[in-house]
Amino acid sequence: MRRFLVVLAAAAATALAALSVAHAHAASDPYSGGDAASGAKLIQSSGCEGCHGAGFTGGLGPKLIGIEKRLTPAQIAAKIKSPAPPMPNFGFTDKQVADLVAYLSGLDGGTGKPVVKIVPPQPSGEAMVLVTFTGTPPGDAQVQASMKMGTMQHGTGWTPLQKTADPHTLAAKVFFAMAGEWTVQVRYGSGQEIDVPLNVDG
Amino acid sequence: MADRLTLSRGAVLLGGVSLAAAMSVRRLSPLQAPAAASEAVEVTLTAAPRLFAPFAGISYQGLAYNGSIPGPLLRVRQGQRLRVRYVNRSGGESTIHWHGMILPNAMDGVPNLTQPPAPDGGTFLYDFVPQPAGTRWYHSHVFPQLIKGLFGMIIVEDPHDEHADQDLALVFHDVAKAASVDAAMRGISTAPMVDPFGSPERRAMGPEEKMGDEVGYAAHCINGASYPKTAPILVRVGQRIRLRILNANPTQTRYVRLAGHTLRVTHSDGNPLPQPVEVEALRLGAAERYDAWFEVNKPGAWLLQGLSADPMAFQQAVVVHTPGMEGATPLGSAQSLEGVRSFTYELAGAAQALGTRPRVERVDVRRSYVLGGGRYGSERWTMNGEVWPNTAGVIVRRGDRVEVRFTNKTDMHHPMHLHGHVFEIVEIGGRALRDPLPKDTALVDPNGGTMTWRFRADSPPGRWLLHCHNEIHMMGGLMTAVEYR
Ligand code: HEC
Ligand SMILES: [Cu+2]
Repeated sequence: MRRFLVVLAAAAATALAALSVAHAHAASDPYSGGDAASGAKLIQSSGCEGCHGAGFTGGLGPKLIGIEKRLTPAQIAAKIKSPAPPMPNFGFTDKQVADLVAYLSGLDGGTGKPVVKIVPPQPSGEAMVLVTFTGTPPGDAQVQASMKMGTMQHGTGWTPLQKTADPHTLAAKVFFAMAGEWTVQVRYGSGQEIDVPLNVDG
Repeated sequence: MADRLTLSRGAVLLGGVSLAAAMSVRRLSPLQAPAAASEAVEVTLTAAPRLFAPFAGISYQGLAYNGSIPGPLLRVRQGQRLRVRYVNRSGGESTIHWHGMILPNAMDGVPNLTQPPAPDGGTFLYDFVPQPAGTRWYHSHVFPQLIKGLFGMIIVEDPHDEHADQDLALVFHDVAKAASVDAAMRGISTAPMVDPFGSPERRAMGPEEKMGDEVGYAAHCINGASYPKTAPILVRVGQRIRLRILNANPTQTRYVRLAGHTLRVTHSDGNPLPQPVEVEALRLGAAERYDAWFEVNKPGAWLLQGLSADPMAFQQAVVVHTPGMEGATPLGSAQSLEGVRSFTYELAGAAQALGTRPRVERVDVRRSYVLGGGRYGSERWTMNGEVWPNTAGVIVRRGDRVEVRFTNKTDMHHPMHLHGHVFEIVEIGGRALRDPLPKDTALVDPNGGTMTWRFRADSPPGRWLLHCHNEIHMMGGLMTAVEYR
């Protein structure tokens, strides 16, 4: 059996920071404490990602990943309640706006630890990497596989993780060119990285 | 220039009509003055390749009539003759089909059935009196030229129509991803399902098929432009606006909403409804048209949108605003039909209780078709188990009263289209329509859904195609013909 060692030091630190920011606002801000799951449905049925890019990575409208680090819930709410054109006014209720704010504030992966799964667990050649987030998967997540050969680092290069049928899970294929001690690396958001060491048979 | 527009005695130079109208289509400004009175309208339509780039990052090698996608808006008066010199530089054989028109069979534009197709570099003369009055359209009947951009609207003006302060032609179309069209032709879905939440199309699909739509679209347009580049429509408080909307998408049903307004639907496929219906959203299967009116009651800015769950659906929108509101944030609609009163045939036709039967009247020819096929990985779409040209047609004599009934055993809606006739829908899903609905294209419900049409075989004799207007299904064999003996 292989081990799945998920290195989360960096991610955990940011998550904690995000938690405390959210907490600080909670008392005074009427738009904090919304329900992210309801927000997700509204996001889907309103077509926000068309303008803001898949995974809110930016498009016609700005990137919204990490917006909770720039703006307070009330400020985010104001941008949704009285948008600047071409963004339309969807006529949301305050409750709906709070739900949207909750969803958008979790875009950088949520506060829990993402779980990385490799299928098959003992690959030779090709494998599928599945990354399950506790919150909304970030739109900018990427994966690569790399191995050390002496002083050289051999890598597949970063490829974007794609959405799957499961709303919390992203996936991508990686290719192991040869047997050896590999590391599957997942990175997302502002600097979070997960490394999974993996022994690939020939 | 000389080959674009021809002049002859009694004909009007279309510089003032078709070309200006083409501009107005692009700019979405009100249509120009009604077509000038004259015996005939003459126009040259030239099909040729064109690079189409409606949105940043999207550039598509399409086909265009006179360099424009959609093609120029043609407008004629009822009774006026139309002479279209078709110049085919599309790179392949081509024809023009006049969708919704009752015309001589030889003008119907079906390759190798009603005419030999114009070869690349060749020409064909379409010469007929467009009728009946209403919102019709024209498009290539050679696959995949419609998908690539060979379509446009033609309006036959009815002098008895109620007055509109503005009469706007809105052609909804989408840029198909070529690879997904290829896959769909092999019976493989590569695109996500994009029917709006709460739509019957979405409900029809089982959960395991949630992912699959046949053809994926990369961009969504109204009159050839994508929001926010669509030119705003300026309206004034007190005005009554007539919208003539066409869904030129080759596979998908489109829902259309104008935020903050209800729409009064007066015509289906150009034909007057028994009585107008008020709805919040229109529902247009591939090739369907509706005439829908709204009144401007207050100043503001609103989005007129084509709804779908496609992430890029927002592109299919245009701002409607009153003077001084051009910079305002428009009110928009969600890409969802939950709780929205949408147009249905049952509503417009006053469907009766389950088990009611259409009015008893003489029927000379009865035909029923089971629509089948469409299994994953198979390109076959069938009528009574057969694919065109082996499907059994409807054999009629001139003057016959004809009834055609469909039972749809597939899990997709089929926009069934009959050439050269206006039929009436008299039954849907075991419910008779009190007010039969006059149409030339109608969506047949999936998963055992039924629909009955009636029509008089009093069109010019010939062979009139009866087929699914989903281009993939048509090419997969879902096609037959009404043949006059
Ligand atoms: C038609 C395109 C479009 C759609 C649809 C759209 N937006 Fe926007 N959005 C924009 C644009 C453009 C901006 C930037 C406006 C400006 O400030 O100039 C923006 C700005 C924002 C901002 C402020 C961002 C910042 O950093 O200031 C938020 C929050 C936002 N949108 C959320 C949403 C949500 C939630 C939805 C769906 C309910 C949505 N948007 C749908 C185009 C769109
Ligand atoms: Cu079909």
